[in-house]
Amino acid sequence: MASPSLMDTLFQRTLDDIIKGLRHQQAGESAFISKVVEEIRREIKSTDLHTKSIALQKLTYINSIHFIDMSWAAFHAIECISSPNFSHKKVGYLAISMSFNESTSVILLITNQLRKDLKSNNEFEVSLALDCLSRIGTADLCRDLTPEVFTLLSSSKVFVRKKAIGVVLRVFGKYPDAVRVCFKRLVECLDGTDPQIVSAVVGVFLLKIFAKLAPLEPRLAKRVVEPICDHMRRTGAKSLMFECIRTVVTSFTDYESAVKLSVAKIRDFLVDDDPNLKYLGLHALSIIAPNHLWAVLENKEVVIKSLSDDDPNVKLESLRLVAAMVSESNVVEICRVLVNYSLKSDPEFCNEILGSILSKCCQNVYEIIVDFDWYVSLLGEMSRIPHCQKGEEIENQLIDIGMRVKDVRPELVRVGRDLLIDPALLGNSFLHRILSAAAWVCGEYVEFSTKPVELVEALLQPRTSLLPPSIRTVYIQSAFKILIFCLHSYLLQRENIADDMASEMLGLKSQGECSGSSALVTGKAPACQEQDEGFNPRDSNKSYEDLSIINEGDVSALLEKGFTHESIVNLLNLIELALGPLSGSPDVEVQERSKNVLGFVDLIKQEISNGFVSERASKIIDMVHDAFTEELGPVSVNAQEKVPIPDGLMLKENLADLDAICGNVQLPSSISFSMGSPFGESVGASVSIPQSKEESEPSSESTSLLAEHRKRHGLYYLPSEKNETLANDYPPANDPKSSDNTNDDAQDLVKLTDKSLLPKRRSNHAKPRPVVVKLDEGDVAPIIAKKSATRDDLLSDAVRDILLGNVAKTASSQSIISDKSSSKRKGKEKLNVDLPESREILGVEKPDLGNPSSRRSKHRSHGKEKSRKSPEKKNSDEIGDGEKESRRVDIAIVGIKQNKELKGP
Amino acid sequence: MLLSCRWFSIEYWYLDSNQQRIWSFPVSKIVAIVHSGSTNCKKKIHFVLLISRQGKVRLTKWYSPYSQKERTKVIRELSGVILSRGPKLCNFVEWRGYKVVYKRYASLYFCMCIDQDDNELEVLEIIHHYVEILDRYFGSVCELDLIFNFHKAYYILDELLIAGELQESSKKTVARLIAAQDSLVESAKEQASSISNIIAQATK
Repeated sequence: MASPSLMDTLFQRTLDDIIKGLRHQQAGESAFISKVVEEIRREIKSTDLHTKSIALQKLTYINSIHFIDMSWAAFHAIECISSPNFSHKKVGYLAISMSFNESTSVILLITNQLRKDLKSNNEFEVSLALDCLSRIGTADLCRDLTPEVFTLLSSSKVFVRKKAIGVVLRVFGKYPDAVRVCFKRLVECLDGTDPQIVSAVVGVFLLKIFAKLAPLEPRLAKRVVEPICDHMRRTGAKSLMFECIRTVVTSFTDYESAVKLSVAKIRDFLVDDDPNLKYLGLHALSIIAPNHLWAVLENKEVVIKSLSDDDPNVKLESLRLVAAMVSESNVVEICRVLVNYSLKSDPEFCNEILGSILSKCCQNVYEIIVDFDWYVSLLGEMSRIPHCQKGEEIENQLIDIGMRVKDVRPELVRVGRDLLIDPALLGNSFLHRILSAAAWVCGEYVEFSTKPVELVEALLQPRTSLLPPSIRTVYIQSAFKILIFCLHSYLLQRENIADDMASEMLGLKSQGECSGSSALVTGKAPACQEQDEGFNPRDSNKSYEDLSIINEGDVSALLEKGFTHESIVNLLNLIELALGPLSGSPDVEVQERSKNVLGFVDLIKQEISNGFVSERASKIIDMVHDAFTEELGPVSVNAQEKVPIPDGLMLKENLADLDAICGNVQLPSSISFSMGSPFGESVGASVSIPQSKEESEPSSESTSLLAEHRKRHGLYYLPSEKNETLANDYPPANDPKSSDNTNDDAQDLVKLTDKSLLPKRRSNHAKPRPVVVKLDEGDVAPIIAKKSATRDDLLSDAVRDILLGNVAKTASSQSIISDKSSSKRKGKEKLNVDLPESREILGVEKPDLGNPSSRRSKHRSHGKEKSRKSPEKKNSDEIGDGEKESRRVDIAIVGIKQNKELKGP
Repeated sequence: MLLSCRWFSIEYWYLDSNQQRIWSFPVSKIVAIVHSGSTNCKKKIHFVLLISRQGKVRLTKWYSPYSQKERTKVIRELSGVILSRGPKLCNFVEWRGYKVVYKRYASLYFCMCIDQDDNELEVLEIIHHYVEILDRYFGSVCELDLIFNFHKAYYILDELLIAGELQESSKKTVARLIAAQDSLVESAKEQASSISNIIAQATK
């Protein structure tokens, strides 16, 4: 088939033709490309390497710019590199380094060609091969070609040596065993007289090296820190200065003077006009913040001003810093500033701000929050910010706080009420999650509400039709809970009145006054009230609410609420009216819940006609009320796992069956029961389902049903559960609400924070921090602000082994290491010698030292450095007689044990 | 031992330290530890991108493995982020846990992706260095030069960086190496494209 090949060769389009062609194509670029690729596919099969290489070059171009797949041409690329012609080789290598990866099937075919080129006399061919290897080197390739690369380390050509070093480092990464073979050669090479090689590798990394080494050897830091500072003072190169600063703030934070100097330099960066330097300055501050908060506080003006920078990066960085400044004493002020700020920033940054507030405040189970009433009202305020998209987060926190902090519930209900009552909020889809939390809170803690009827009205207002069904169900359920509460209160009230009428009039009379009767009951009321009013006059009804926590009977509270027969009937009518249409809802969950409530209302209505409550009705109400008053506590994430699976229960099989059933029929009943499960209280939701009382399912089914329920109603479970049924992906609805303080500018902000950011001691906490329920285990793991440790892997282990050998060599007067194992053993002995001293360092090191080998290796390097430093002094120790040594080993072991105990399991 | 480095005035620093003998063992060993051990052989530069102001890709070089799909995605994402940034903003973008350092020269954006803890300013200098070398090679380089000589831009980049690390800081050296290779390629091409060779190929 010579003729097509000849035609191809003579009339082949060159790369320039393609590029020009592409540039002249206005539209239909892809059509042109596919035509070209067709051509290439034909040309590349040519036996003429020249034609082939041009085709390959064109393909490489199209691949790199237009991302057309070229993996099919892998074999042709290999053919090209085997050409004796340098230009073909070059094109081939370029194609290979662009397109090959670990999964390329033909990659092993190039091993031989690479080997040949690495050994070539032409240094440019060698360099091509090295480039290629550095890019595509797999473990296999590295293993096979290690000897050749190492030979090149002693090449006479400087640039070849440099490239070889670069490749060796790559080889080390892929194939750690190579370290053992030729580390010495590399070290010799680096030690070599040619400054250029060293400069290329060492130059820019010098300071990084110190940063990395500092944790390994504390004394190194002591000696290095002064020169670094010196250099920081003198250098004009900003990049070097920044590296100095970074080294200090990451590794030498214990050296006061160095830190001070670098903070001063950071300050220079911050006030610089160059946005790069400003950004880096902020970045450096955020590195140092965990250890030296004063540095941030010192520069707070700049930091706060940067919140209004044009550059989103700078803004984000400064937001992080502001968040770092938050502490127990200033959280209120900073959050106020940030919330005000979020009101006038763009939606994206607004949500960044809100997110950082939320995550900062809930850290370690609301560690920094003292005044939960404030925080809850802040959450309420945040949900009204127009751009707020943090619905899920706020929802979780509202419920979580409700469960964990008993004292805050009255305020929580108040905030929830305010949210529920506002019809405007219902139109904002981002707020739906928050509203569902508010509804749940109001239903669950209705006893703290001043006007339960108002809540029912809010929950059943017409605009609730805007809610998604899953949240409507929460609304209906909450309305039901409130109804039960009202009925129960009414019953109690009737009994009470009957009792009172019989015995004394005192109780009734006191109802008009403040809280006489309750004072009788508890004796604590005056104190309570005093405290409350002193602290927060906002809610005059609070004393009653507080009381109602104390005496479970809620006598005074319900007297205040004063249900009459009429009001109860009105309530029942209202519910009937609102839920009537919902009983035909297409959503089974909504339909069922409303039907249940309606059925209940129907029953009660019959029973309490004519102002007379039948025995039966009061019994039912009592029972349901009992079910609802059961306290829901936070549940450990692992609670479910801890429940033993009963014998004969085959979870998976059952689930599969259920799937099959659900596939055919929409099972409406699948959610209605969850009680009779063996888990009882451990799963919070079981209480909130009224039907569960009556219906008890076989345990095997209930498990799967429970899972189903959990899936649908993550809301009732602890917030750590991800709720997947609802997604808030809509664009931000612009709710034109509460944008009142949008016009204070950055200047004011700075002034404001100037005051507020000072970490002043605030002694005016009238109220002690309320108890926050924490779970012993399985709760959210405490977040410790720590940097990730430098991970030690196989490779570094290998390097240290070798290094250790080398050091042993140098310590014992420069003898060549011939026997690796002996040198290793020697190192180990030294390690033992040094262990007692280095115990403190071990304590400082990261807790993830689980891997004993990495621990050992660290010690080795300590030992080594130490011995290198002062060989004269150490000499006696090193030689040391066996007895002494073994004793010290014992000490070392004890030391490690103690450490382990300290760290705990 | 004198270190020379054009990027920063490391010489001073090194002389200082030499006089004070702050190291107790040779630098080389420290380097070796750091390079192969503690850094876990992380690559310094993950990829290099050249994007025109219109969002057209002019050059891509990947030092870390990315699949074809990921590459397209990365470029789409990054060009969206970078091209939309105003002129007076800083040259760094945080992106998926990495940092992208970019700089605009005329109508071209040069972008390099590095790890979080790498020195941004240094990478900025590498970019500038690359541009200077291109400038020297093409004689006041423009976008068209890079469009039509994309392979040469690659070769120059290969001389400059290896495995994502800066390997040659001397402009002169790079220029010399590239010129030498160019002449090699030329002579090889001449030989290959001589008409007799073509005929020999064709009639084979």
